[in-house]
Amino acid sequence: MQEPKPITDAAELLHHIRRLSYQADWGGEELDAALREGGVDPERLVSRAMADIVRHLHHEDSAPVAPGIPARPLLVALRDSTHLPSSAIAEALEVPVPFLSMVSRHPNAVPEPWRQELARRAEQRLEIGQDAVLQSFSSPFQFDRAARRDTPYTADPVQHYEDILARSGMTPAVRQFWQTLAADACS
Amino acid sequence: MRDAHQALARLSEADLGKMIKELGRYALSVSRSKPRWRTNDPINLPRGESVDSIVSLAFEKVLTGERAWNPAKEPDLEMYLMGVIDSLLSHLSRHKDNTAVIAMPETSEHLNRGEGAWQAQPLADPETALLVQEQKRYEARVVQLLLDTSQDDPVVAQIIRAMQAGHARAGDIAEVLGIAVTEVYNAMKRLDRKIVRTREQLHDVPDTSRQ
Repeated sequence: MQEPKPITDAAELLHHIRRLSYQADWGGEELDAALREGGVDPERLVSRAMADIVRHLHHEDSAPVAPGIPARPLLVALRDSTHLPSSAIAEALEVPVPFLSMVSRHPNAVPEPWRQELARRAEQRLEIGQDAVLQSFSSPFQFDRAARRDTPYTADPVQHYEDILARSGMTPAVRQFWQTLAADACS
Repeated sequence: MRDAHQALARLSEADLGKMIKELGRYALSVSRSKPRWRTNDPINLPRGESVDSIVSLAFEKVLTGERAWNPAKEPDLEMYLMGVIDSLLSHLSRHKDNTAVIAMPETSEHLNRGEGAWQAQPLADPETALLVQEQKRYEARVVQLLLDTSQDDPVVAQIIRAMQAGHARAGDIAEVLGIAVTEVYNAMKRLDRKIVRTREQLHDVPDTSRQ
């Protein structure tokens, strides 16, 4: 070990503390808890950054969108079309932001009645064509990313609409509505 | 720019999500370390920015090439993004919209340096120098309060002392204290929580060091 050089500057010490704290292996739940404790909604944070990253990645490959090119995730499509923040879109669609984020990120787990309902609301309240919304569900984001990556594809941990509901941030009454909608389709 | 695109595209969605959260936590931690936000809120910042938007902006700067990530110099993209977040929050905290004084160039000497050049030499500007002093005083109080409030957690207190002595790496600290590296990291998580509470305490107690 090299002879240590004492740190007398508080800023430098705090910087080291932050960096070392960052290196600790924070589990997903621990991260979520730390963010929430600090007043940051983890789902909204991820949703916003993810949408921006995807937009930039798409912008880079800025060839005209042609049939067969994967569609944008729902939230990105809605934000691009309306120029509204995720929270305003969620409010217009009367769903929580986490729910919107989850259905955007895990289209495979979204049952058909949910797609239809979201498309209907988007048309009524945001004046966005139903086809545009339904198309967002047709070309999963994961496939898009998988096609670009060199490393093996990681299976989507969210496979069922119950997984989405569990993390949706919905009140019991609203959750019951979406639950019933999905269950009716399965029966 | 292309390197950053490729690096991000290689990540699984789950890994990218985790990276975003880690950067969010880091941005929150840096934001809290600033003595003053005009909004009185380390989450919702001046100029309409927020912890969320700062994280997105860091990605944007790198993906547009405005900040050039060089993997040969800094192999870890996330570490590089943390540096971008440091820079963004530092700039925002000194921006005129966050200060009671106007930290803009007023002399011809400043103006002749060209846009941005004066910002790179903050000590030439007395108002900015005051802000730097305030920041330093605040950070010193944070460290002292951390030590005070860590008396109930000897491992955390020992780690702070070891870091003050110049041991910055987890392995070195573990060796000096005779504990496992995992114990160091677990203590760092507890320390992170203490920093959250420290900021709240500091904002409840007036700074008497100026008197």
